[in-house]
Amino acid sequence: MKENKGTSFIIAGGIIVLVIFMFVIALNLIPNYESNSYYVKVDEEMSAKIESINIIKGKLIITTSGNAMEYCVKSTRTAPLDNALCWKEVKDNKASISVFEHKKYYVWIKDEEGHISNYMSVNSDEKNK
Amino acid sequence: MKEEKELEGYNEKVGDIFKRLKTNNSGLSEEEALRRLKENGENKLTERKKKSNIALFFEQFYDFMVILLIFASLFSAVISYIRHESYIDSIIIIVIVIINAILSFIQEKKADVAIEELNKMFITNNYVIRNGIKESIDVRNVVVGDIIELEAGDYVSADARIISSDSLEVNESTLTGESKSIKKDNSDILEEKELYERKNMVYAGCNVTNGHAFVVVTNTGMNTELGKIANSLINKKSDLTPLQKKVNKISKVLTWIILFIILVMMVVGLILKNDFFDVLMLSISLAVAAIPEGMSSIITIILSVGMSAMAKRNVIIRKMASVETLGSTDVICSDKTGTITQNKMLVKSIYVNDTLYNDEDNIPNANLFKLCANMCHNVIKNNDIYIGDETESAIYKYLEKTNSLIKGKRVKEYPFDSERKMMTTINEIDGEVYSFTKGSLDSVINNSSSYIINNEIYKMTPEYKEKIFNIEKEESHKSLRLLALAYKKENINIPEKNMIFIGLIGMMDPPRDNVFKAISICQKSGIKPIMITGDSINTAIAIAKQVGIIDIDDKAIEGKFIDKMSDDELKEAVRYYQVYARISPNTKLRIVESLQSQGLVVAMTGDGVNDAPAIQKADIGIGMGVTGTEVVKKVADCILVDDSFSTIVDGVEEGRRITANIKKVILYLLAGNIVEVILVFVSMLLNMEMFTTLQLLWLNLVTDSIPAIMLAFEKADESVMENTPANHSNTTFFTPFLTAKIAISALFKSLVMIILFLYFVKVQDVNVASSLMFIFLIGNELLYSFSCRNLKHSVLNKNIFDNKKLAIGVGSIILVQIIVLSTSFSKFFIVEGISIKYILLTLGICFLIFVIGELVKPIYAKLFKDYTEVKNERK
Repeated sequence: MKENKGTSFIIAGGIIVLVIFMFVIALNLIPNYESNSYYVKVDEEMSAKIESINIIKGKLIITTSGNAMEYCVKSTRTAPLDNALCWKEVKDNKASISVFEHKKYYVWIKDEEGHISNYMSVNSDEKNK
Repeated sequence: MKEEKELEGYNEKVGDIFKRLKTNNSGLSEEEALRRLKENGENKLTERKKKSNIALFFEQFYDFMVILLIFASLFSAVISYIRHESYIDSIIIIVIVIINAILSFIQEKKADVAIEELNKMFITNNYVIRNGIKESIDVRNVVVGDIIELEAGDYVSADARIISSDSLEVNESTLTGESKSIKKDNSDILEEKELYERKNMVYAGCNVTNGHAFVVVTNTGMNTELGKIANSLINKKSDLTPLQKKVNKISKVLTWIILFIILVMMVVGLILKNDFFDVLMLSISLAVAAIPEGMSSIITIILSVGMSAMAKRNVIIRKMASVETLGSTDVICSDKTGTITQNKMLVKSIYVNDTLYNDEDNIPNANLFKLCANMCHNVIKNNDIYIGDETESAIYKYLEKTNSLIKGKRVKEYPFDSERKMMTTINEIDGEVYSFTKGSLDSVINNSSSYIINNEIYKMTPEYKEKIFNIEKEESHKSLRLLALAYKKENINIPEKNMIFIGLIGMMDPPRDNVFKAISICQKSGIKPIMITGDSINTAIAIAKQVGIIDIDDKAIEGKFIDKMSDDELKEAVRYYQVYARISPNTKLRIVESLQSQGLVVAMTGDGVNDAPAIQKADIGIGMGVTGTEVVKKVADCILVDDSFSTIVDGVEEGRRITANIKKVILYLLAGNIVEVILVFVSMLLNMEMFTTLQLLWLNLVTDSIPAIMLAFEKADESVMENTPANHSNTTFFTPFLTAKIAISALFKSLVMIILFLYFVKVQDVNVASSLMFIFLIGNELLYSFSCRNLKHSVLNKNIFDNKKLAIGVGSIILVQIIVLSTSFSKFFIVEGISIKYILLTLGICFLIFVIGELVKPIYAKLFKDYTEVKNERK
């Protein structure tokens, strides 16, 4: 292993250049969608809303308003598809899920028309949002 | 204009040397000696410049996979910054990298220290005159200008000019290859002479076999003749061992595969319109999953454990990776004297009074024979040590055993020389003067005009001579070396003419115990034993047949015929011959190179400095611990504590066991990692994180590491010394068998886990599913460590406590897991509120997979080959 110094550094250097390049592109291209006031589809309106997200004793507690039917919690930011496995039922505008420590979670809700909100995020180290 | 001659000690007068070196017969003062020691350094062969601790520590980071991990940590930190997430993943990865580096650094330092301690074993003392007083000092403290007193049995620690001597004889075989002792004196030499002709010098690395002398040191350390040779050897770059090559290849291939999969993930992620940083984060998880973070340290630990195991079997490993190389040996080129034989010449037969006796017989009418034997040696016995020539020591021991030691009054000696091939002493016994002669049969019998049988003297005849030569021929086929004895009572002034022939003494250096068994094991294991010796071909053949190396004389050849061969002819020759006699150091090197050019892994033994080039060239250079010189021990990859051939075979067996265990460990680590890679990739497709980075790191470093290390203690399989292609080096690591095992096992487990994960996501949620998958992998890895104890046969019918250390290791990990998962640390790895029934279901399926894996094992062995034919030709 120790004999591969030269090749190691060439590969490492290549990776650095590639990543910096992609990082710069990504920063310029990807907007920040974090908000409860934007909609996934411009001409449709959500009849449900995420009121709050709390972390209490290792559980993420979601409080909604309106006609929130389902919620999805993931540690990846890519929006879930309509038929994704992560959608779970919201009961009485409340839902909860156990979470890992030191992770950031993204929450979406779906109303009864099937509209999907944009995400809200929370760090599992935070207590209230 | 004539150039000024270079002052080399031998071509100077003693007085001139004293002036030049500012010394005298009383030696140097202590202060002057200390000053010279500080100025010129110790009298020792310097090793390759050692790396500093800092350089050695940072060297641990010069590795494909380590660099990949460092970048994984950097990217993780960047993503955390952008997304305002915790930096814990990034920090943990860097901490792991540093801990790994520290562990590897500690292991390498420990190995270096062990080697230094080993080297200290071989330090000796010399008697040095300082301020007119004789002191015994460590040879490393000898300086130029010191006056050394040498006696029979002493090791010469520096090049020195003889000031005065008395019957001094020195064995210079370590330097020149000449096995006979050379007579030395203090004569002045005015013309240029070759090394072996410088009779007024003694050289570092040689041994005093007879006599006594005072010498003045002219050169020390690397400036000695020994140092000049050592310098060219020690600074040579060594090739990579088979293990290093295989691990390098695995490391390279793995890195390229990881980078390729990351690229594929990015492309697929773009197509699926996944968030760019999600894909990057999963790529980091993939890199962490795929890289066996602990592998480098674990292999270092296993080799270190292997070094200890070999030391218990009398093989001291000097270079860690040689543990594996020894196990891959295809050919063992061994010296005869001292390695295959005991290097204890013993009298075995006596021919006297026309009768052949063995050493146990009581010989009647043998007074003259006993007198002659007593008067023709210079052996001194000092506290059970016999100081003197080995053949004379054998005669002395025989006389001692038969209570036949007699002291006489020696009047004169005509010492042995290689021209006359005789030695004669004139002695006064009971008022009468006798001359007694001992020497080669040719010389003695051709200078004898008569012979004596039962006190009757007969005239020498051609028929009698022929009879004696026939006896000699028969005895040499029994690997005996013969000496003839004769005497005279009249015309003593011409002692070596017209002698009266007395008889013959037959001596042999018997084979070591266990050599026959060791050779037999070699043959069965597919390892070719080869004998290389400076002795005569008849003696070599006799010993080789006795120990089972050859069964026909045709398989032996003399060096002079080898020297006439071209490289292509030699390539053919080394395939056939197994005994090489009258071999020079250069021929030895050619034989090694020729064997290696055919892709064979060659082990070569040696003790003298003239063996050093061949030892260094060999894949595994084996130095002799008892008779080996300092140079040989420094260039050798391993050292035999007891110089025995059977120890080499023990070392090979141990090496094969360790190699087999390293294979098991690499399989164990890689198989687990491949499952993780597949699952991380599937995570991206499902747009859900199946494992967190911390879970993967925990699995790779904690859960996997201890069982992997404990696999090093697995006992040897029955097949370890079988002659199978898998046990030889001409095979890649990824044989069809191993590749199939890893691939099929990984795919099957991944499929089961994906189905389980989806089920748990459906009935619970993604975090519960992730926690249960984590528990599944822990159970799987611990059970799989037992499975890896034997790659071809089920372990279900094996005693689980056969490998106690593995059982304890796994037990400890289970305990650690329970503790961690029961405390607040559990939040890093599992979420709260998981139902017991789901945990039991997970572990149950895990166990089922383990059982299925054991049941299908024999199928792999039947369907797939455990070796690949690889051409391993070297330049």
